[in-house]
Amino acid sequence: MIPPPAGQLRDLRRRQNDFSRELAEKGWFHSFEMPDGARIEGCMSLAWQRERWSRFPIPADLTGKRVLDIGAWDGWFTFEAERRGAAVTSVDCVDVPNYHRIHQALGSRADYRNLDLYEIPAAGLGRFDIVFCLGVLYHLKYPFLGLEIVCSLATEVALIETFVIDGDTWRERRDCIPTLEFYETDELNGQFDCWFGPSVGALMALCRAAGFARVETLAVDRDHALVAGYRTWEPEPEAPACEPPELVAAANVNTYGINFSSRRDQYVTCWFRTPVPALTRDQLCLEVGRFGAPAVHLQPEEGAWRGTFRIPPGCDRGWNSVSLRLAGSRFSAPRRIAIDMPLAVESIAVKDVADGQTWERGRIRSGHATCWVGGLPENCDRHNVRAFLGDTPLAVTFIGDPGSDGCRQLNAALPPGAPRGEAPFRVECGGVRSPALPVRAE
Amino acid sequence: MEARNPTDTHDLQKLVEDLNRLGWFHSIQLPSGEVIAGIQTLEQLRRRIAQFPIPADLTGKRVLDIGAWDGWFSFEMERRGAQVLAIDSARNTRFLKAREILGSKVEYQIADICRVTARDLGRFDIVLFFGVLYHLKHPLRALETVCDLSTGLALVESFVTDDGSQPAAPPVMEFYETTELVGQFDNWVGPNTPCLLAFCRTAGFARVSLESVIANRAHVTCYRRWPSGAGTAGAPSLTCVENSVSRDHDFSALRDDYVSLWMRGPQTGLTADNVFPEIGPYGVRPAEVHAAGGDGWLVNCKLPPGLDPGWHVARVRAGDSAFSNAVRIAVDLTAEERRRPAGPRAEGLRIHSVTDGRTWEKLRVRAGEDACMSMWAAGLPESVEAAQVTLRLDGTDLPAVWLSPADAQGLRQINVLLPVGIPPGRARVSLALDGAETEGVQVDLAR
Repeated sequence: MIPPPAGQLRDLRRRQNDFSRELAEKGWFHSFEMPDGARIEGCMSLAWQRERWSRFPIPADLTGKRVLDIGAWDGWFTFEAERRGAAVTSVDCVDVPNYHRIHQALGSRADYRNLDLYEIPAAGLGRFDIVFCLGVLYHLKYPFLGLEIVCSLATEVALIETFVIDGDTWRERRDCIPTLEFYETDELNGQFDCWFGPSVGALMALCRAAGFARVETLAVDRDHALVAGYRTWEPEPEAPACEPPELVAAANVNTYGINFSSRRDQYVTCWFRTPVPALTRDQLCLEVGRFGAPAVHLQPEEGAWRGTFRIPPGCDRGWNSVSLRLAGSRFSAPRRIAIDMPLAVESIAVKDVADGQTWERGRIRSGHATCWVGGLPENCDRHNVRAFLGDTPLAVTFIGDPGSDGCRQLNAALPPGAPRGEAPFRVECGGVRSPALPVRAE
Repeated sequence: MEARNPTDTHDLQKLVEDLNRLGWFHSIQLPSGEVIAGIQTLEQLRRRIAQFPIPADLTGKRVLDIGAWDGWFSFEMERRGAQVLAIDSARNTRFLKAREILGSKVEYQIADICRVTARDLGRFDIVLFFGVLYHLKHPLRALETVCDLSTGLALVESFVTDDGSQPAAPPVMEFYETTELVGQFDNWVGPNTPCLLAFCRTAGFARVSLESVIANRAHVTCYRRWPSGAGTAGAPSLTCVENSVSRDHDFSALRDDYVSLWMRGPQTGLTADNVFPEIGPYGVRPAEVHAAGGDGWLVNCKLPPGLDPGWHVARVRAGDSAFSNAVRIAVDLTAEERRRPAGPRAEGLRIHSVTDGRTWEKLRVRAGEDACMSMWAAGLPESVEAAQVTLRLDGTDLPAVWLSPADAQGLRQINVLLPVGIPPGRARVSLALDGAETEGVQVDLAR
C-alpha cells in the first residue's frame, strides 16, 4: 500500500489520532476483504469491524433502507451496509482517497459527500432509516448539537460510537452526575482535534436529551462506548400489565396552546390519569407522530399527573397525534398538536357574548366572559386567539371544539382593574379581526 | 431624603407597591431614591459588577448586555455613559417598566444568543454575559458568538461546579439532562472553573483572566487584544501563513478556521503562553506552538472571530520581541476579489522574471510539497530588507525568506515558500514593498 502523502498525513492524524503511527505505516484505518479475495489490513481488523457490526440492532437484510454513514473514513461500514442492500450516503469532513479506491473497486453506488456534520441538515440529503456516527462525537466542538443533528436525520435508529472517559467504571458511576472532559488542545492522545470526552452516563443523557426515545448501550470497553439511539418505543406489550393512561390534554408548555414550532426547542406538557401508583418519569412513553419522546419532568397535579416531553426532532409539519403509554400499558387514545401550521383565517364572527357564570347576554358581571365564535381555524388555541373589550386584552382561558354550526365556545377573563361600562367586544386570530359586539362590563 | 407632600408620597408608595408585586430579581433604584427590592440587593449587584475591570466612564462605548433580565446591569452601563443594547430570550415586562421609570434609552431586543450574529446586532466594545452560559445547550458555540460580538472586552459570569481553588484540575463540564441543577429545568451545563476558562480561550479571545469565584459564580474577563506595546528584542519573521487544515490561502470567518503561522526567530522555549499572534485588529491565543526544526516554529491559532470580509494583516510577537513582519491574508474574499489589485501602486518597482524556486523554469511553479518561487525585481533599493518585501499570490502575501543584493543588472532576487495546499492553476504574482504593489504577472501553478 502507498502511504498517504505527508501533506495529508496531518489531516489524517487530526481525524483518527489514537492510531496515528499505525495508520502512517499501514495507510488504512479500516480493513477490507475485496471480492477477488485480496485483503487490505488497516488499523482496525476485519474481525473487530464484523464484531462491531454484529452488535448493531439492525436487520441482516437492509434492502429498501436508507443509511447515512457520518465520518465514513475508509468506508468499511458504508460498503458493508450497501452489500446488505441499503442505499448509503457517506459523509466525511475531509476527502479520503482510500474511500474512493474501494468505492471504485467495488463499483459502489454509495453517495459520497465532503461536509461537516453541522452542514448536513442544510445539504438536502433527506432523512435516513439508520444513521452511523462512529468515532466522530469526541471530535466535535458542539457534541450536543451534533447529536441533535444525528437524531433529526434518523427515523429508526442511530448507532453512536465514541471515546468515553469511564468505560471501566461506568456501572459503579451510574448515580453520578454525567460529565464531559474538555480538551483545550492536545490533551487527548496528543492530538488537537479532540474536544470532549463524555462519561458513559453523559453519552446516554446527551442522546436522550437530543431527542431519542430510548438509548441502549451495545458495547462498552475501557475507552469506547457504542450506543443505539432509537426514535421509537418498543412495541406495545401483548399482555398489558395495566390499563392505558387517560390522556386528558396535551399543550405547549410555554403557551398552553396546541401549536408548536420545529425551529425551536419546544416542550409538550401532558395531563393524564392512571391508577398506577408511585409513577416515575422513566415509565412514560410519549409518541408524537411516529417518534417517541422521553419525559423530562413528571409531577402530580390535582389528582392527575403532568408529564413534560421535548417535541422529537424531525416531526412532520401539520397535525401530529400525541399518545402516551406506560412501560407496561398500551397507548392512550390520541390527542393532536399542530407543528409549523400557518393560521388560515378568512373572517371571524362573534355570536353572543354572555357572562361566564350567569350566562346573562350582553353583560359581564363576574369578570368572566363566554362567547361563541365562528370562522376560527382548526389550529386555533388559547395563545393565538385574542379577545378584547375595548382596548383591554382579556385572558383567553378556554376554546372549545366547534359545534354543529362551526362555532366554538371561548371563555375569557377580564384583568383586574379593567374599565367598566359599555365597550366593543371582539376577537382576533391570525391577523383577522371580528366585527365588534357591544357588551356592558359591570 | 427630602420631605414630600402627602400626595406625592402616596403616589410613590403606590408605585413601589405595584412594582413590588411584579416579583423582581434585580433591585432597581428609582430616580426618587426609593429602591424596588429584588431578590438581589443593590449591594449584591454592585459587588457582581465590581468583580470586573470596567471603566467608570464609558462615554462613547457600545455595550451589549446578554440576558439582561430586569436590567440593572444595562442601566448601570448607561449610567456610566455607554450606549447600551440589552437582549433577552423572552420579553421581560419588568425591564420595560424599569426603563420607563428611569427614563432610560437602553435599546431592548428579544434575541437568542445561540442564534444571533454580528450582522443582526453589530459589534460592541464591551459585552456582558452574566448568568447565561449554564442555561445553554451549546455553551462553547455561544462563547464563540460572544467573542465575535465583542471588539474589546467580554465579561463572563457563570455558575461553576467548584470554588476555583484548583486551576490545574482537568477541565470538566457536568451535563444536566433535566432538573439536576437546583431543580430547574433550564440549566444544561455546569463547567468547573478550569473548563470555563478553557472554553473562553478556545472561543477565540487573546487573553482570559479569572477575576474571582464567589459562591460557585466565576467572573472571567476576556480580552480581544494583547496589552499594547511591543518589546524590543529581536523579532521573529513569518515565513508562511496558511490555513491549518487545507494548507492554502483560503480563510473564512464563517467556518471554524485555524491559521498556521510558520516563523523563524532567535527565541527559545516558546509556548502558547509567550507567543502573541495578531490577525487584523484582534489578538488570538495560540492553540499550540511547536518547534519546527532549527530556529523554526509552527504556531497554530484560531482565526479570530469577528473579522469582516477583506484583507487582514497577520503578525506575531514572541516573548518581549518587537513585531514580526506583516503578512496580508484574505478573509471571505472570492478568488476573483483576491486577484484584483488592492492598495497603492509601487512606483519605480518592476518585476523582471518569476521562476520555480528549484527548477528555475519561468512562469511555471510546481505546487505541492516543498514548493518555492523566485523573483528577480528591478528598482528595489539596497537599503530594503527582506522583512519589508513580500510576493503576493493572488493578493495574499508570501513573505520573502531571502533577498539577494543587487546583481550587475541591478536586479535583486526574492525567494518565497508556497503553502503545500495551494491548488494548481493560474495565479497572479506581484511584488509588494511596504504595502505598495507592482503590476502582476500570470504564473502557472502546476502539480
